Amino acid sequence: MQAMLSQMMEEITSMAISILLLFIVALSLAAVFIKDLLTCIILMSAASLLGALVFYIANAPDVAITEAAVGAGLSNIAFLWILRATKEAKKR
Amino acid sequence: MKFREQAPGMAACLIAAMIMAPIFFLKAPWPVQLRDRYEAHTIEETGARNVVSAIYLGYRAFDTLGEAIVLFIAVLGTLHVMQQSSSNSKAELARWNQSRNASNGSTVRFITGKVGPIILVFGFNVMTFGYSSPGGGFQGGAVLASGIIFIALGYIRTKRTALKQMKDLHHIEVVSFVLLIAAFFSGIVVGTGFLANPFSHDDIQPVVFITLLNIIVGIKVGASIGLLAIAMYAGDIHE
Amino acid sequence: MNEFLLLALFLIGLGMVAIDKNIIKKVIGLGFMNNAVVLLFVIRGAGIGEKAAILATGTENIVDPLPQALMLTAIVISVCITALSLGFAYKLFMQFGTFDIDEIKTRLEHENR
Repeated sequence: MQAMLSQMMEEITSMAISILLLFIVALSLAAVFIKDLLTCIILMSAASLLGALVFYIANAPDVAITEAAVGAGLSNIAFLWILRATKEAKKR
Repeated sequence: MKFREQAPGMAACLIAAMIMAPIFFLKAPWPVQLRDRYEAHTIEETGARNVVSAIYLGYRAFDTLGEAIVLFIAVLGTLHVMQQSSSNSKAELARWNQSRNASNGSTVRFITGKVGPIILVFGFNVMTFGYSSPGGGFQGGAVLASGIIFIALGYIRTKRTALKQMKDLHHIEVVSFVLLIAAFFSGIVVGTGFLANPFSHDDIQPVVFITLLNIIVGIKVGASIGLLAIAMYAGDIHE
Repeated sequence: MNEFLLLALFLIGLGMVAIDKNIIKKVIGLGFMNNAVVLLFVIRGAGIGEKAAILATGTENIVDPLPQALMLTAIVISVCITALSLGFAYKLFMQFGTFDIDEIKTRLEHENR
């Protein structure tokens, strides 16, 4: 009974990882064809956040904390900075 | 989207697909000997219960040294490239102050100013308890950087405050880098070797060294990325 | 099934770097490639065990901890590389006034003539 329960948990885990990877691929495919830069940046940070969820489900909590803190906030700042600085420079 | 211009790019993608496909579709079994060895010997050799922390601070500390050097150089390089040779005239400074004061409503500034220190405390918690629960140097450093960004959103109103905070963060980063190298060399002084645990022969538990290294690496990573973030928020500032 | 999706993610990132005309989209493609490689290492390493890599008395079947330790370093370094390449893109914009590499190439040829 215990072995069957653990095997079922393993199957559910691998299916959940596959579904989340499908979402990540769909988001990145959308980022190829969209011309607006702000939308592409937000799609990339959403893909990083879903990746953090995959790391949590796959029993890797350290990588999950780092990816959630970095991919959803710290790499956005660089992109938003460059969009703002070039817009101000164009206006001047 | 003319096809003629994109042909080299698509050819590169096809060749990369043919080269990378065997790496992604590897059917060889993943080796388990290393996992068994770590499972059996980590607690008695390093004293830490979190195997990932024991690896990047005890068994493979050279990688952490290399990563600290790369972070240092990348932050210095980015700060140098970001400078813009503009004249900081009084009119431009006044316009910058006015734009920052107008864009953040008082709601955003109130909330982020109050929540910022709580996130800093959470970052220290993640950093310090990295030896026995999920956490450690890099993770706590990333959370610390987020806390620094919150505080910057809440308290920076003029360019002079931003400059002062950047100088403080730069001093903290340099001091923690020197402390990290001193901690790695302390093994030579005591007699166990470079990058090794200096507490292996005494009565002090070897887990103290791992906790100290976690704190130093966390402060370094947090100060580096926080410095980058404040420099990007406050715009072009000469240093 | 996982491997197909990860290969697709890697190739999408590589396609954005090689085909797109905007410099910022190339940097976003680099970010997707990084994400694909980190996901590959951690998911392949998690296939041999069942519990997280924290040892208590009696844990037996943990996940492989070595790829996780290496990927921590990789994630932090990727942030710094993104910031540095965006700094270079900023310098290019200040010099030429555009993010499009075709226009930058024509303006360089005009200057060299």
